[in-house]
Amino acid sequence: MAWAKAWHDTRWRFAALFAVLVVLTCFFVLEWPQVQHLMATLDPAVAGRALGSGALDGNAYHALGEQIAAQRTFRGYIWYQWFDQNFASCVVLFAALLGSGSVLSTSGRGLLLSLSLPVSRGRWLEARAAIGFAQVLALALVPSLLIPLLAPAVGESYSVTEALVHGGLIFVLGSVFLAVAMLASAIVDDFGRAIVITAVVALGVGYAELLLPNGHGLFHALTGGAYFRAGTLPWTELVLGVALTGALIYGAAAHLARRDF
Amino acid sequence: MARRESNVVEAIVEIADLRKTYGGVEALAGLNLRVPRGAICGLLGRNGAGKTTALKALLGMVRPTSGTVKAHGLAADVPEQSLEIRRRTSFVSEDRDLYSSMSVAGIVGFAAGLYPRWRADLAAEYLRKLELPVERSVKHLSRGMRTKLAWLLALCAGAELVILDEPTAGLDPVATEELLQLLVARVARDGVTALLSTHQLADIEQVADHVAIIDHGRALLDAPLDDLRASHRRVQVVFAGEAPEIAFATRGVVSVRRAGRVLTVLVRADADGVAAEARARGAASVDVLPVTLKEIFIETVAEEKSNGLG
Repeated sequence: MAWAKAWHDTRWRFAALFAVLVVLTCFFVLEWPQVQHLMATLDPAVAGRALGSGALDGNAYHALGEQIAAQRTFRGYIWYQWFDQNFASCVVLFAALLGSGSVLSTSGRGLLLSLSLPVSRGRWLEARAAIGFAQVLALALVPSLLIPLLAPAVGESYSVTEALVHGGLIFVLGSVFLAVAMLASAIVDDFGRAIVITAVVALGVGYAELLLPNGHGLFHALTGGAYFRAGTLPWTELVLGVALTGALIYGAAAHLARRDF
Repeated sequence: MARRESNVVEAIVEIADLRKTYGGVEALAGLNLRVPRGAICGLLGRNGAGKTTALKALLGMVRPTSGTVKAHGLAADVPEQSLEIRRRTSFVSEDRDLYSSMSVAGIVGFAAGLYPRWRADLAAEYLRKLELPVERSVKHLSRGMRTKLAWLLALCAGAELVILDEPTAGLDPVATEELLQLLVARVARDGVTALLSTHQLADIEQVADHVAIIDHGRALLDAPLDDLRASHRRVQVVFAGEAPEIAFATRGVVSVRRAGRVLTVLVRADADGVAAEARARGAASVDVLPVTLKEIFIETVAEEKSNGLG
């Protein structure tokens, strides 16, 4: 029954976020013909002039050039515009929204009822975490699988395997921030403060990754750049993400077990 | 209301030297409490006396700083045992804290899935009797309706121990009577034990057979209500002139009040001894009268306060 409550508490939130992602996915895929037209008319000399004026350094120029070249294909466009940017940001934000809020109360009510029921605090957290991971998995995989499904509508094709790999990587990334939000919620209870803490952590991780070599770090690696470019998986970051998620959930359970209400 | 005989010795709740400190503030200061199995026990105390903290410790919501809390012979501060306590105990919180997004039927079904001995027959009967709208969302229920629903969940859980925190606060007299009748019926029919923390002394007088008074986190009294009634007496002494100040030598004097010619003595044990002392000091008349629970409560708490100040 703890599962039922966890689902009941988050189902409308999940449904709204899921709908937003599905609509955005459709928009990005169906927008491809316009983007294709735009890319065809883009003058490569523009980037060169920017470099000459000193506005871009060598690395940035190289990256820009790679982006422009890659986005002339549907596969490149989907990775750069969707998986690497909008989709990853959305899943991280939506995972934080799903993980925030007390696992014991519903909209701030029912805390003492939950604590008086024959369900351990660990069980409440376990149920909420399991439902949360399932929801993040759905948010990561279903829109990803929509891409190969919708691609023929714009005269393209997209590999199901590639969609699954990118979806899976972003699921791990989302899970980390679901767990951050759950730990924050175990400490502060209310939804708003948990979201703010999770956002601050996400921004902190994002900025800290700027100091790492290019392509490393949770955000950089788990958006699947290495897979897009060379077909390799970021095993280090995958293991790190799973371990971090486990540690954060364990921390949330330990804190919840110790608390007085 | 029918009163049951209570000669039960076995305790369903045993609290010994329980202490709980919140950031330097002592909410419980060595509480000792024993609730006999099968009793309706009234837990009385002023605001901030430590009643709710004691109930929360019993349900594993707060961890004791020291001391022991046991229910059904199980330790409430051991997580696995606390879970078993909660399987066998139901609770109505002071603010009727329910899941506001569920419907009445939804929350009843949810609770039914959690308690191994859920009484579906009683739930159906109480839903009808209490006129609860099954399809309505909990957030759209009036406070009285929410209270009734919280009682229903507690009484139908199949629990051996029902804990109710301010269970009739905010209810009209008809609803109060209706719910108290349901409680007494459950206790009489199924041997359930009820622990009521309340300020409604009239409710306790009506249904309880055991009373505990706590103040400043300690139990001042813990006894069967009949024993309290039998042992406590008000001795009203009238003098011909101004009542003298008398330091009674008889044991068990709880309080002495002087007002003009009248001296009112609340005595816990030997009322006849106090009456004899008063007569010896020239009293014109001496009456030994029964006392209400309210008088016992007020004087017991006032005595503790004056002892504390002294």
